[in-house]
Amino acid sequence: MSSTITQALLNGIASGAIYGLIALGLSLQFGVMKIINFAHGSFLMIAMYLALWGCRHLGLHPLAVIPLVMAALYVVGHVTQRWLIEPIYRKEATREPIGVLIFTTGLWIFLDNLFLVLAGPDFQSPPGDWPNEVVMVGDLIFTYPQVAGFIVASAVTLLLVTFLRGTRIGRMIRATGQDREAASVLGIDSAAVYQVSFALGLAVLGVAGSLLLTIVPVDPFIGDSYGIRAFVVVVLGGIGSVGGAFWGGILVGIIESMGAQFMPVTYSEAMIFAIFLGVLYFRPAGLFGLEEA
Amino acid sequence: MLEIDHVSSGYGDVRVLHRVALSVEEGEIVSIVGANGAGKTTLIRTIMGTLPATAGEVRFRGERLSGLPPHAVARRGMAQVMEGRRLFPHMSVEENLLVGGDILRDPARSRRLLDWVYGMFPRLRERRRQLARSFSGGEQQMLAIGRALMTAPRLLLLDEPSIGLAPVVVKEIFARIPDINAEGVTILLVEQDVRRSLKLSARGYVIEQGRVVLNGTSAELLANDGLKAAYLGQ
Ligand SMILES: Nc1ncnc2c1ncn2[C@@H]1O[C@H](COP(=O)(O)OP(=O)(O)OP(=O)(O)O)[C@@H](O)[C@H]1O
Ligand SMILES: [Mg+2]
Repeated sequence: MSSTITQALLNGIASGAIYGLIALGLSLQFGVMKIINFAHGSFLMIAMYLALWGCRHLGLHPLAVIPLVMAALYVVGHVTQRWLIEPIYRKEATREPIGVLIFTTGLWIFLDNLFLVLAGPDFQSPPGDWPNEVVMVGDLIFTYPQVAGFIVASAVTLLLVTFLRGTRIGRMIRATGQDREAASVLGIDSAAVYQVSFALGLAVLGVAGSLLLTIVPVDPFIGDSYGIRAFVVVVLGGIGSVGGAFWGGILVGIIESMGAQFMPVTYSEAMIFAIFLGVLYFRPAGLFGLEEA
Repeated sequence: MLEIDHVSSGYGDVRVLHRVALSVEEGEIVSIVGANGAGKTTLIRTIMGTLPATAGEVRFRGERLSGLPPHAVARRGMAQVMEGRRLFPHMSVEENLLVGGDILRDPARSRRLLDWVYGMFPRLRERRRQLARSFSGGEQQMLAIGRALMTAPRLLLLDEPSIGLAPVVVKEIFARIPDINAEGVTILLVEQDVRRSLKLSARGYVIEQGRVVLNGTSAELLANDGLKAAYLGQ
């Protein structure tokens, strides 16, 4: 393999890990609650602005803001689920939660425009030169954010999977996702499980947003493109599969960066969505065949 | 222990149960029998709180359950083995069981309960790492019962444990019911297999179209001409 190709492949894996992390929360929320959260991209945008604020006004390093943004997004997630989504979900308990779908779509438009008012339309990045520093490995060059993004995204994914598989709360979350009524007659409060799952999904998104800000600037509509991409990743990885989301992200990252070697960006973008539609049609359970949640 | 005091319930505008009254004393095995669609599952779900009662009330160990959600009822010592088993398909056998113990927040006690369940159904221990969905119907039913027992219930609601199972397997599972009862678990057994379930219990109720139409000791019911004609094919 020529080093250009190797470089492109590794670049793709690095950004793919972040795409996977962005999609993780969406997949978890879908897997457990069977709701589609269309405001996911907007929450990503909020995470990025919070990270930006931490860097600018608290003078923190772009990686040091991660725990703060994560905690803040956890709270946002809890409040959103408890006070906005749950009341709608409850009313519609007996049918498909269409109301939630419409509600999160409204929330998406509302939040994007709210931040247009609050933050203005400009593209903004954190101060400092850290994002431009590089490490060289032979012929290959990686920026610090690429390296940090890959490591942190992989670690967070692994942590979440371990949490879901290995802890009591994780088991209760998976049980509720697999059969809500069966879980509830075993004493599991599904409303509480939903609050934790939604909040966890957004906490992970907080990490992803902080990492993304070291790679691309934020603007009020950044969530649109990355949010849509998260849907693609979720479908490729298998809807509801947390581990699958990670691999789906890597795949999209690779297609995008390898594609750029051979064809214009619009082509690789079209190709990603063609694969998305193809997977939906032929393999609705995703490419990797991993288990739910 | 359990009193169903003239309870009505249903789905939307459709009323399925009409002022059903019955009771279960501590330590008993009581059967509820009835044909397809009589309302047996609806009754179980209403007791558990999954469906709200539209009239009347359910009392459990002296407490009114009205309005309590199912997880709260479960935490008061009631467990339901759901019709159709409803295992967690992507979990191993042992994980399915452990979910049952999760609300106890007591790993040592969960461990003891797990040993008890494995002792009762040794096949579950042998296959504890397998996915639940790879199981035969009988093994799945054992697992569903085991999972409910992991919550350490005082009252166990069994909804048609024999459904879809071969007679030998039914025999094996039904043989465990008195054992469970002997450990201090009161049992309400819902069945279409009238003869088998009445032989196991001291008393029974017959439900038709959402109403209790007959009740008495199992011996009386088994000797009842109407019941014989309708359910026992005699
Ligand atoms: N989710 C539901 N929505 C609407 N009607 C329902 C629902 N579930 C059951 N019913 C209706 O309620 C009535 C009683 O059903 P139920 O399931 O309680 O009967 P059952 O005695 O448990 O029957 P089976 O022996 O077949 O399990 C039936 O007429 C059924 O069609
Ligand atoms: Mg039934």
